[in-house]
Amino acid sequence: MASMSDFARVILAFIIVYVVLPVAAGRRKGADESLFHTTVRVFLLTSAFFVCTVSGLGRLRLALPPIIILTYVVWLLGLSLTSGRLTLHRSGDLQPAFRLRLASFAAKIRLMILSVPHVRLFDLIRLSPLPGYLVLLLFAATCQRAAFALGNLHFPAVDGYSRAMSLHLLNAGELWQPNVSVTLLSPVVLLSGLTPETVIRFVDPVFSVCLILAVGACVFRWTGRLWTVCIACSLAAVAPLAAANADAAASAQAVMCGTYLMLAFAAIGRSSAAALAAVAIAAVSNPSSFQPLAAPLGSGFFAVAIGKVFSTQVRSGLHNFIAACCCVMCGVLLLADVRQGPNDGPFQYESAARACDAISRNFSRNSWLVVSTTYELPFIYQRGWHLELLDFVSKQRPEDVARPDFRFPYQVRHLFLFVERRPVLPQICLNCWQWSLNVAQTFDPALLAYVSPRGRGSLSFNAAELVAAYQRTHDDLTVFYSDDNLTVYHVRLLT
Amino acid sequence: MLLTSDGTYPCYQGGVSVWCDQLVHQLSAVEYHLFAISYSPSHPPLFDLPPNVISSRILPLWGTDQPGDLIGPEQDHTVRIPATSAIVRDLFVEPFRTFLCSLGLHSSPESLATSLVRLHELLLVYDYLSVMKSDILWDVFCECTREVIPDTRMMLEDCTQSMRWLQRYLALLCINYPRTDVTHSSMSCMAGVPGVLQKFRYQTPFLLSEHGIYLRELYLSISRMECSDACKRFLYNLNSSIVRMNYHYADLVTSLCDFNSRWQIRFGVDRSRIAVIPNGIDAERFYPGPPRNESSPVVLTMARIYPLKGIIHLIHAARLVLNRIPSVRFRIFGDVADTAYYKECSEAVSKLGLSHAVEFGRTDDSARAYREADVFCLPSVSEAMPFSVLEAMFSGCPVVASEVGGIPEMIEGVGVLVTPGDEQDLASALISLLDGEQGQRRRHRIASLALSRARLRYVQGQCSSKFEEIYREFSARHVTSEVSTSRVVRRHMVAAP
Amino acid sequence: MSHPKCLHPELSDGIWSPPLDVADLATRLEAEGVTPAVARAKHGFADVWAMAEAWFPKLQAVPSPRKKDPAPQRKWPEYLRGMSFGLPLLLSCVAMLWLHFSLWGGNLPTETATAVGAGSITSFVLTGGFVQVMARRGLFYLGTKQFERCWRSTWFWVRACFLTNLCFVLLFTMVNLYFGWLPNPLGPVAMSFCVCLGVYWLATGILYMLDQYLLVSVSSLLGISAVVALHTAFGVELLPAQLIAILFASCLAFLMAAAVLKKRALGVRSVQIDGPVNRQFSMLWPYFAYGTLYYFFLFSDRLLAWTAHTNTASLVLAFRGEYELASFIGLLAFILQAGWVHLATARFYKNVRLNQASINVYDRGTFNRNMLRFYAWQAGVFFPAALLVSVSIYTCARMLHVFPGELVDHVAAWALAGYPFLVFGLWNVSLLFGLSRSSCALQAIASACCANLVTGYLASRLGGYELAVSGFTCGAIVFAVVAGRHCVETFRRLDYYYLAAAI
Repeated sequence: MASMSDFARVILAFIIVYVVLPVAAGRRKGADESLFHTTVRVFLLTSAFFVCTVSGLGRLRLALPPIIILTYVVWLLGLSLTSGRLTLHRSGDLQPAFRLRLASFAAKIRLMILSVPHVRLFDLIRLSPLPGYLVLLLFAATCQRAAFALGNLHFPAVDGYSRAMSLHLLNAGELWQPNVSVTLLSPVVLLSGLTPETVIRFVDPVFSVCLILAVGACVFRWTGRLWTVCIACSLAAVAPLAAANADAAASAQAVMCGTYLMLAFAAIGRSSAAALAAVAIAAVSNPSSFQPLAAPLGSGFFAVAIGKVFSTQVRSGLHNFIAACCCVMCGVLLLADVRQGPNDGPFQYESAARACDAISRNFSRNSWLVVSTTYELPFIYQRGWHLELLDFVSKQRPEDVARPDFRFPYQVRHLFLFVERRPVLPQICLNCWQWSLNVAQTFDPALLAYVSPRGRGSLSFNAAELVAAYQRTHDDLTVFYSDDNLTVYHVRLLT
Repeated sequence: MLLTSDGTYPCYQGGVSVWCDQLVHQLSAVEYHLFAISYSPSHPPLFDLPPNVISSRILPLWGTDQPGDLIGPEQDHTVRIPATSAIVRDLFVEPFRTFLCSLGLHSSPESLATSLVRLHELLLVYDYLSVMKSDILWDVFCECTREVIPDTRMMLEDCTQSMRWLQRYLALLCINYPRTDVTHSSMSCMAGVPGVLQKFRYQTPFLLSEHGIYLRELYLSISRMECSDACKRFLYNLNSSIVRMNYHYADLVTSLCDFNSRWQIRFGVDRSRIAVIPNGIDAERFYPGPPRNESSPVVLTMARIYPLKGIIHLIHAARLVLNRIPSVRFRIFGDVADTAYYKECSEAVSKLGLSHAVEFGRTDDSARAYREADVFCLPSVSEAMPFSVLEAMFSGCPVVASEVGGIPEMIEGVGVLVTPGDEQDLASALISLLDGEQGQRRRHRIASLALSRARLRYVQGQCSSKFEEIYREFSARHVTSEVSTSRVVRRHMVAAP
Repeated sequence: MSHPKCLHPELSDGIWSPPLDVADLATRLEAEGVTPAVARAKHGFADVWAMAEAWFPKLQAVPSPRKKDPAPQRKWPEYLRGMSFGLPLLLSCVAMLWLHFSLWGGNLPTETATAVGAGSITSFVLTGGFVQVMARRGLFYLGTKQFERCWRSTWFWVRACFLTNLCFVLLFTMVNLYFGWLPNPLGPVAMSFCVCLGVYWLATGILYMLDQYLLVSVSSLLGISAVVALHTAFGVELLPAQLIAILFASCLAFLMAAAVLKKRALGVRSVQIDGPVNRQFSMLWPYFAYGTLYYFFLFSDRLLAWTAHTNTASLVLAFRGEYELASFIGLLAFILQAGWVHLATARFYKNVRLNQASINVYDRGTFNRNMLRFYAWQAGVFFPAALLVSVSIYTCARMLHVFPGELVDHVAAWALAGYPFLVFGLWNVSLLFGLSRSSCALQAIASACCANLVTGYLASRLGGYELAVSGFTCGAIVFAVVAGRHCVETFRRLDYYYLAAAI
């Protein structure tokens, strides 16, 4: 339930920050631009705004919540001014103008409320059922993409850990690892009220669904036909199923790149600024491999092609039937691929991540210290203290901790020790050494010990030895959590 | 009818309020639009308005947040265009300057009326506050003070005070008065301005009824004001110019008595445009009671407590009366309109040892109070045609009153007239009516004479039927052509956002 | 009949002025009982008019009696009156030093102190605007003797503020659940103090409006006594005891205010009839905004300090005791300097009246120049005196070793440097409000808030939390400069603005 509500909060925050507020501010008064084009335009411009602004502020270590909020408000005001929704001229006496505006606003609200009973939500579906099928397809895609995130707190790729840490550091005004997705997610973290690692966990599925929507938007822009959109979205939705073993890290960046590329195509001819912004974002997102993009982009171009070729030669009823069938079949395939439940590894046990989450919720801020591998750091940053297991093990000796008068030299009230009973092994290792080097370059080279099976096992063994020695002469050590893979020990230090 | 009043009906008690109330109730076939100027928003209507009063607008001149704030259920919600400096300069400066120059004593009523009408037309379009708050008009005002009060040195303080008064008074001009067949004003100053405006706009006949003489009362109030001579002069010039303008444009000026009409003639009203219509009393409410044979005769005075009513003279006369007839009791019923004067009277009562014999108070049943009195006494030093004397006459109560205003016309031969302010004379008159059997006989004789005269001349229906005749006549000759809006204003109305 | 007093000014009771014209004199004669018969019989004229025409030329030349000069203004009572608003604060500080607690606050754990502090600051910011508007309307009705209307208006704003506070509490509770800023029970503690103190500020605001400064101190003293009784004698926990005592003090203050108003309203009839609502709103919103922004300005440096570098603290907000101590030292200077505002404002009005009465209408430039010179003189006198006060307090504090460390020393120095500018800005704002230039006052405080926030935020984030006070000083300087500029601009056309103020 908590995961579902967190997911909903992330989606809501994302939509509000990137769609609702910018569209409300940027909808041009009196112009004939459709809502679809406005949404694409302001979404791209707002994304570009955040990438530039947050990156700049991050460089100055000023990407702090109030500053980001202030710049966003300025952005919305700017959009309102350029779209004509806001004017700056002064009237001599505000009183009559104020009353007129208030009356007009009240009339609009009244009209909206009165018109609700007359809005028949399913009229559109009755006239053309395709939007309904599309919604169902997207729902299925969301379930499939989000299944892992909903069932697991930890990340399937090291990219997730590094992005979570970058986001933490960015929002705290510290030195951070520049990354396009991190800059885009900074305002989402503020509005959702969730921790950065939770946002990172859910934003990958969100962007995956955005890619499907982006493909659909591009196809709609060039064909104007809903049935081609359905076909394109269906193909884009099922494409990753064929490449089930693709590198998850590469996928996330590629998905983002692909989303903005497709939206660039959708914006061409309507808003050159938005198109250029989208291309620029795609360029800086820097995917390591374009292979994961091939299928979604290909399905988009394919749909455009058949839309152009077959739109007049085949009856519209047949188009809709084919499109509906596509949606249904692909939806079924997606739902069949939903994998639920915890899934340990490759860097961390799911139970370790959950234990960190439990500690964060149940103990007051900065009153505890966790001793574990680096992978727990994103789950406790800015809530508690962390000590590397490597440092802990290297600084303590069993004979020292076994002394009855020994006290851990940490000025906190609680100490948690994460000891793996069975070391986590990477499940996907096409080329272990190459993979390890990649991780080391991405993360901290000194922590190479964590990514090799022998190093990790040795650390765990040493930690267990220390705990056993301490336990023999002290009675303030309890077991906070234990299962077949992991034990978390709790030591009360200060009262 | 558009019936206008100033500081009276329906928010305040008094003779004029009673007259207005009688009029609107008696003439139930006439539809009235009421416009009342009040002096504070804290005085709600005191009178129940009959169904033939279609609308009621009350404009408090003071005590509101801003000038021009109306109160009542039909506030003017028209949104006016805010006036910029350019608009004020182009449109308002000229008529405002003309208006100020027309306030001099020797200027013509026509120029005053024209400038007021012009300002009125403009203020129906533009927001009053933004116009009057303008520094341009303030500069014009400062420049024109020499024309307004040529012989008096005006300090900046005087100028500021005067402009503040003007900003409040001119709020009259931003009301959109309803179009009617006749405008009937119950007073001759600010309440008459709508009559002049309507005459210019719609050629509406203008009927002006005066009860007291406004300028006389103005003189008295100005003389008591604690402000500089320049401010007094300004206030006088403003009010007297307005009064003269109203006199000039009124189709008919009614007066309560010959005394008042003499003053009106002196202030420039043509004799042919004056009609004397005295007040009337409801004979069903005020009638004589059974003969009284009380051992303690009662002298009744019904008047508001303020200096012009001469209460202090009555108190001194009461001492003289009580020295001769110790059993007399004096009842003084009326609202306290001047607290300092009331305090002076109370102290006099205590000092002269009259606490057991003199009673101040109020009554809700004035008719009964008259019937329970043996003599009615009105020691005023200034009056027009007081209702209280008529009520006493109808109630069979003999009247002793000062020889001022229209009182001699009312009770000469059927009452006792005394020299105003002369306590000895007043005391002698009272003693002559209260002392022994001779006094009792004299009381009965003059009371019956007064009752006969009252029933002949001062019955309520006579007064209201005369006004009904006038309304009919005016309505018949009313030409309802609307004065076209000036081209300049129309151009601005089109150009404004 | 004696001679009519209107013909003999020396016999009148002081309220006599030359007649405006013959008709005026005739009216005066008639008002004294000179009828045509009396004029003929006693004075030998044909009628009253003839008598008036004969006497008018002689009386026209008689000058009006001279008005009495107003009593000279005493400086020290006005100054002390201006300072008296600080008396409750002083009582609070004495209680804190002696008892280690006061009507709110005390020796509390850091987290609880943070919650109480956050609640107090929120109460100020939420009620500030309402108190301004309530006082503005109330003073208008008191000035026009509409006492019952004053009571109704005041009560309306009290209810409106209380409802707003409750809505805010509800909203904050939901947002706090969403964002998790203050964990239980700190969130409810903060909101309880917010509501209770809000009611207390409203109650004391009414007493200030009625010029009952002493009664404010009385209610404060009784409130503190209630805390002592509940906490020390009955053993009630400090926080609940303080909440109960605050409500008790508020009720007392409301009752005292009601009694004062009812007494003034005795015998004066008035009813509730209001002008158009939109007109009221358009008139009052600048005062509301000013009141809110003023308190936001006063406390934003504290909030910035409390939220800076809290990565290692147990809450997002962390109460900083040393910063508070330094701010308190600055506040002492503020109390001493703020008394000047009342005095200088009273002097301003006196000068305006004197100048207006002595300068001809065609010489308005002289009036404006005189008042500008007055303004410059007041500023020239104030600044050195205020700086002297600040320096003296700083020196005394150092000599008495009040500063426990360098941090408190630096913060106190910055605060003491800023308060003279704040007080100067307050004087300018009180003049601007008096001249109905509320939008100028609003501009000044808004600029000050922006300067405070930007400078304080950047300084506290790039440097230590104690540098947040630089935002306050910078904001105070901006406040003084912007308000001063508007004042000078106003004084250049003071003749016009003085007139427009009464509209």
